[in-house]
Amino acid sequence: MIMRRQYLLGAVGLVVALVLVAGWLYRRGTSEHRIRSGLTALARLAEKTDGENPLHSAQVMRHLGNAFTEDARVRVPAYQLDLRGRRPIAETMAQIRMMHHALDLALRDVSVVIDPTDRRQAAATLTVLARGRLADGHSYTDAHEFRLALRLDDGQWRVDEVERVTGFE
Amino acid sequence: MDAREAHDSPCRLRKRLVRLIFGRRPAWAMLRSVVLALVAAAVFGRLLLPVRVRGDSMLPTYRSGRFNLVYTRAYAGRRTPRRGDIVAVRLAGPSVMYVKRVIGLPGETVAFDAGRVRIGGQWLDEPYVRTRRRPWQSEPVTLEADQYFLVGDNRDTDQAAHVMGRVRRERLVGRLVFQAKGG
Repeated sequence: MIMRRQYLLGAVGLVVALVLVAGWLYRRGTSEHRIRSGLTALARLAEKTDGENPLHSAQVMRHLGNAFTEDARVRVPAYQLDLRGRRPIAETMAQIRMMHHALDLALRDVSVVIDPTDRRQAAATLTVLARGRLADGHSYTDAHEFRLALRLDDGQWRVDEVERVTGFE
Repeated sequence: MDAREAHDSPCRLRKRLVRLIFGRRPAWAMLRSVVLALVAAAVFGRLLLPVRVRGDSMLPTYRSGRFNLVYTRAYAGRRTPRRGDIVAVRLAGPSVMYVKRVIGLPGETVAFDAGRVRIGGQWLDEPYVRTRRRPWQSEPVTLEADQYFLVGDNRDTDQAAHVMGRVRRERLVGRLVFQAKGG
């Protein structure tokens, strides 16, 4: 009787483990997971540590550009920023990085919705928590909310539009 | 000490240790722990959100690094924010929030005049503001039915850099539990 109970417990444990692994594998393959991973990778890429190699900075700029579609648009009215096109966006991001000695970015409350009518398009909202130290030594902590439009482009989810949302009118 | 006592001592010690940690009935102790963990998760994940204030926009009321709790049911049902309440405003979600004070209610007209607040032409008494070294100035704005005017207590900061203004009610996560004096 004891042996049977042990077998039963083992079987239940195995089934639970299989379900968890299957769920994890399923989630890994979904568009939502790919978008979340892509956004996290973009944030990691934009980060900067003290004493960064200039060669690395050039590589970062190229990779930053790849995260956006060819005709992407970034709008941040508070900073009079309205950029169109992959190259100007990457250049501006590179300039912002250059202004910093160190920049740490964290993404919070990321929400992704795939367009049910067109599975190649998605929308995301998120909060970016930025901790930076500027070239003049001034340190700051800032939080901004963004709304993103993404598009599946050449098999990769790329950012098509970025708009800063402000809760304070 | 005889041989039997020497053998019993570590065994008895282990039993006492197990009893101390898990109690006389380990199964019940486990159940109690699980229930306690679930209740804590429900309370601190939904009802009372722990927050740590960062930045100096709420000085002198809250210093940077101070711990507080946001009561999310403060404005449930018919309860509405009152003037002087210190509230948490969500961004994309509740992980990062602004902490500000309500100074204007729906339908009111709010303006800054030489650093002081006017509500519908009347000066607002703000005992929580210590100094006004910068003469904040703004045009009067009338709040819509679901809007509140929020601002930080620190009026010594640069007005352009201070996050303030009209906020819709749906963005208010709740009221801070440990409200400071004068609030």
